[in-house]
Amino acid sequence: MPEFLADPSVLTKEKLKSELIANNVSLPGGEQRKDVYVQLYLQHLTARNPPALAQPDFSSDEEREPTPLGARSRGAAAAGRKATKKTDKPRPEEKDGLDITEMSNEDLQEQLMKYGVNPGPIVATTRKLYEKKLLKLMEQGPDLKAPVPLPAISTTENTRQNGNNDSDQYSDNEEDPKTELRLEKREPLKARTKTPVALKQKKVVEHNQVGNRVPGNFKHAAPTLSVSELSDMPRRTPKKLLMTAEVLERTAEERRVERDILKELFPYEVSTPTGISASCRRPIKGAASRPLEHSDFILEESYSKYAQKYGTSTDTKSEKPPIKKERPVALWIKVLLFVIVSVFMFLVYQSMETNQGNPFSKYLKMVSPGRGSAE
Amino acid sequence: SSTSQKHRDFVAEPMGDKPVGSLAGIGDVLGRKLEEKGFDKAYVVLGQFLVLRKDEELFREWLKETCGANAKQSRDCSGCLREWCDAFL
Repeated sequence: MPEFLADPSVLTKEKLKSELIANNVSLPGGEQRKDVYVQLYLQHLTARNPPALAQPDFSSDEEREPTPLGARSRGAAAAGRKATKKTDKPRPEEKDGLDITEMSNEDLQEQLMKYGVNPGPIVATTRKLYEKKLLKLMEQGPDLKAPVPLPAISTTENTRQNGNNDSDQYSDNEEDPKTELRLEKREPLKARTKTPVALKQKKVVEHNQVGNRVPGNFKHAAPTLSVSELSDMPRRTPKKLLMTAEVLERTAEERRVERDILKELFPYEVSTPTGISASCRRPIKGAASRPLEHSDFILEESYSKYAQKYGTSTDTKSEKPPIKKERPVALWIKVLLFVIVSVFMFLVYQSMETNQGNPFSKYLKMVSPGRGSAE
Repeated sequence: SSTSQKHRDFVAEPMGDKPVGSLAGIGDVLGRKLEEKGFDKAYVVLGQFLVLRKDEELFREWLKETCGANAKQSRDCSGCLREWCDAFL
């Protein structure tokens, strides 16, 4: 048969190879992708076809178009081939007066944006893809020029789209608030109590409130502040108002429920949003040349800072006698106990230690010349 | 969802200088093809993904054209990169 197929991809790879060989076309060495053979077929064999190319195979070209068009970097040859094949077909890609492949990057971008697609930079590596995309869009609706969902080819794959389809319809400004909103939503759920405290603390700082004995205020301030803060944001879009209202209701309810339960559990705890109650910091006695008193040492020996202790050691010595009178369990008793314990430990060590290198041997000779076994 | 171990390993940490074969869906064959085209490190493929504005659809097409990945392979790769971006970008 003198006539060759215009669309060789309908053939299997093996058939392509055999056809090529039968027509004395040299094949590349080794196993190649089918596409390689398709291209060779097109180049060598389809070109030999008689000029009248009114072939029924073209009807299938509507689907086939993307694949031949998505020419691997065979470049101009393939493009030229495309042009010759489509003499009889209406040429949608030239609708805009330009061949898509010859469109400049900016024009391509414009065309894509008309279809509602927000393309990324049209660069060497991305150009082909965007050309293809534009073609698909044009075929779908040359008059449509409206935001069109991605073509059928993509839907046959899994439909797990990234957010791009939606984001195409929004400008970049709104993307951040959207994510912000999601975060906002998550935050109240996960850390419900944190946000009111954070908001309220801001206000506290703003109003220069000193003194933290305001746990009661926290309770009242938090809901009002959070409402005012959260309600500021819905001014951006009505959507946000709904969402924040829902969020607010949810969080308010949760907080109420939480508070009731907590009250049952901890009736004596100060009720604050975080459960932490800060008391006014007591000035450190003895520091910054503050005068010391007896009462300072009650139950505070273990809490007081070491610096204070050592810094005021001179003072403590003078304070010792008065302390003795007030508190029987004083320092000297502790020292005595320590000495007793250390002596005991020493005795244990001495009796247990069997090696020659007893560091206390000198003293042992003095203390117990009778016990020679240890050395 | 079921992700492969390769996917999990990739998404677990910054990719650094990992080779392109460490991407989910990219095995020896595809990896070699990508390397031939100059995409020898995972971050170069990431670059392509980002230039396409993280459009998985376009990226999958590009991957198919560049190294002949099939649908599943390209899906795995694009999903892997997307998750990596979500975590680290």
